[in-house]
Amino acid sequence: MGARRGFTLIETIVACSLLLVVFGGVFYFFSVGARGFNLGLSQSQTLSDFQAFARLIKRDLELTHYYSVSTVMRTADTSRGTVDREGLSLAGLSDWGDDSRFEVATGLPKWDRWILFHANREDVGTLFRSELERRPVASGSYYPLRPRTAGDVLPLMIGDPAALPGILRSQTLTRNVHSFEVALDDGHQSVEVHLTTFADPGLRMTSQERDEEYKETRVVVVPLNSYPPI
Amino acid sequence: MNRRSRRGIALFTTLVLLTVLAMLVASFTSIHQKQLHLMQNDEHHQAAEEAARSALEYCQFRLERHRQWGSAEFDGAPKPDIATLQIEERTGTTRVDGKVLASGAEFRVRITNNISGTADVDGVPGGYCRLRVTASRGRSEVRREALLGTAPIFDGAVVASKNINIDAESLTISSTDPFRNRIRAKGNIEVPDYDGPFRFNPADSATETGLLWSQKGIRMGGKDLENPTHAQNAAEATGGRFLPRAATHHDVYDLQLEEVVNWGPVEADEQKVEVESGVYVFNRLETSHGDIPVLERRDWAIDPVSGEVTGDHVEEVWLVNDGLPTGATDGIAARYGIPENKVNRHDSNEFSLDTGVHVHFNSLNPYYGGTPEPPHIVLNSDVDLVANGDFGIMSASGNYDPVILFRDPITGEVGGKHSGTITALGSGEGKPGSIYLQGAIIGSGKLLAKGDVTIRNTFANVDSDGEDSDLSIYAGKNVTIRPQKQKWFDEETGTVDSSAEGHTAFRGLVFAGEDVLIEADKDVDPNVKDPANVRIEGAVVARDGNVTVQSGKDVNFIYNPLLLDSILARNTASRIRMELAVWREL
Repeated sequence: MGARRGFTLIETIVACSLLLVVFGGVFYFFSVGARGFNLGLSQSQTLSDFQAFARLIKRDLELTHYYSVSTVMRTADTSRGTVDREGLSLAGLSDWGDDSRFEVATGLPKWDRWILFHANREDVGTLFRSELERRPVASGSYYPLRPRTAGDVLPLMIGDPAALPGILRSQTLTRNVHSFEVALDDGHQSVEVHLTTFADPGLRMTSQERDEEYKETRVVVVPLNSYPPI
Repeated sequence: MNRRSRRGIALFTTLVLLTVLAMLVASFTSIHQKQLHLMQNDEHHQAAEEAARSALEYCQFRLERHRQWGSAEFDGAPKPDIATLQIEERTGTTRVDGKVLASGAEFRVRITNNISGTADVDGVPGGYCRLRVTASRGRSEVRREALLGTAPIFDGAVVASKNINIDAESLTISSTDPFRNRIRAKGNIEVPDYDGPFRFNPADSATETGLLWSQKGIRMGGKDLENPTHAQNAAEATGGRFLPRAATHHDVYDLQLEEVVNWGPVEADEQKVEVESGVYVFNRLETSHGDIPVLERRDWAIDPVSGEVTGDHVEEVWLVNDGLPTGATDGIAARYGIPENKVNRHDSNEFSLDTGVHVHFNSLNPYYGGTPEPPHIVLNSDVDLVANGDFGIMSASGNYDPVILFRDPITGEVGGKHSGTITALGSGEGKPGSIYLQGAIIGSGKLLAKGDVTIRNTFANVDSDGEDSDLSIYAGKNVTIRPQKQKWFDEETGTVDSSAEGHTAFRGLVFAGEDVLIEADKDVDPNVKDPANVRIEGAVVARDGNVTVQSGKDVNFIYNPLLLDSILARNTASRIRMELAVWREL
């Protein structure tokens, strides 16, 4: 067996180049996979957030009376332009499972809550859901049921909802709110809610370009406790 | 490094790469599965929700056709086939099981039907039905409770399946129901301007101030409320809601004559009196001893130009002998060309036409003198007067107006709880079954006709503030109300009470199978406008036509559901309407 010959320069260069291509390919694949993973995770989170938001707002709207629903128009000046950050007020009930929360003679709900959805005016906004007490009239009745005016609702849309007097409950539904719009459709007796969220731009899976991270969801609900139906 | 260790590097590298790849694949799979689960859960939840709504709609459909449905255990009676649902009404229970074929979602409904009850049963108020629904799809399950109440058959002061057009100096839409103060048209609505002449007058503590609902357009004083500015101004000026191009579903209930022939509470002493078809015309007949008053029954005829009922050939005559020489009435039958037995001679200025139907000539007969008063036809309030053809009352000359008076036969009370009925059923001989009344209508009465009902009323009112209906009208075709100026009812005395001119204010239901027309210009001269006030409490309904008010002065339509319930009390045993009162989570 003769002495072993070393690698020639060319062999070394070819081997290194091949290794570079193979590892480059592996890393590219890994990087794309990682971006995809992050993107999927982010989308999954957004989907989950939207579903939670949609289920909550659908529940509140489906159980309310159309006559109690009102909207407050408001905009916010953000780094991405002027956007709608509106308010949605509706009547609710403290406990749908409690029979004492319904009128004895008619079986109708004793609307003892005001529910407010609103997005604040921060550059990247936050969407809140707040509950306030709705008191009966002097006779003890929770009727007539009329919507709250903008004058009633606007003061509740300023600052931290949890710190407002009279707030029974306040929760943050989603952050990264870009716009929150509400439209009442009297013709169909339905309420349409449109939420757009915004997140820092993320890299695309297969390029160095960044995508604008706007995601939107639209919910249309017919309030079912609108007695008597129109 | 020897050869063996170099071989190990290749294996190690491969394993690392495979591990990384496996982790990536596992992560992707996990994310996708998570997303899939989220979507599937959402889809299943949605399907379960929709199944619960389908269950509600099925039960509502069944209850509207049979109010006792589910109040007793099911006995296997046939049920309707619904193409989209698979339904089983469990025999021996009050439970319905079902499946939505499209989504595969299943539901189960427990029914507590207390619609016919008055007291609370198992937490369900009288007049309501409770449905407890459990619906599921996959692992998603929703539990809901619905409370269905009986809805009014008509839910507005004015309801039309075509257009509503009200031309009046002022219009007030009122209601005694705190939840409803509305007028509805499947066609266009045209009413006076919101800026003054139009107003809502809701009940105390009303949730609904007022609502104009139209599946087409709404115009107020010529302003189109599809224009958002006008719509906003109208809402601010009146406090009401205006829904042009409304997309919600509404059907105008197709009330049938058979359902209302005996409408209202059953009276133990009611009696049916059949009279000959025709127009009963007050007239004067010249005799050798001067004019004598007569009542003629003429064939129903309509003037082709004016469209007014005129009466044709005389078929029967009623007259008063008393005070006249015998010879004065001789030859009457021959002059009319009718048999002698169709000339009914009476000895008093007041006589019976039939059981419970009386005629007073009053001062139409100059021989009796006394207080000037137009002729009356008085119907006992326990009488259902039925014409197998048409029925009309009028004066021949048109210079005076008869009075149709519904009266309690015992107390003589006009109005009150009892009410007489005039029914025109039509006949196979081409008689449409119409009613035509000229003059004042006083008392609690009901006019039911297979064809048209026309009243040329100088007065239609008794006790608009009372609890009972004054006048209810059902016409299979058209209803025409023409308030009139009170005319000189007697040429000899020449007296008229102008305070009651064209007065139209009554409580009751006005229902037309086709159109309702209220021509409120009291003056017959088309060149002279003399608008009348119109106030109808109850509801005005055009089942398949328009509601039109022309030349009204102060027009007030008042929705009164309790009054309508009392009028249609007998009808509620058959078809009913249900509406969702509460939909809640359990």
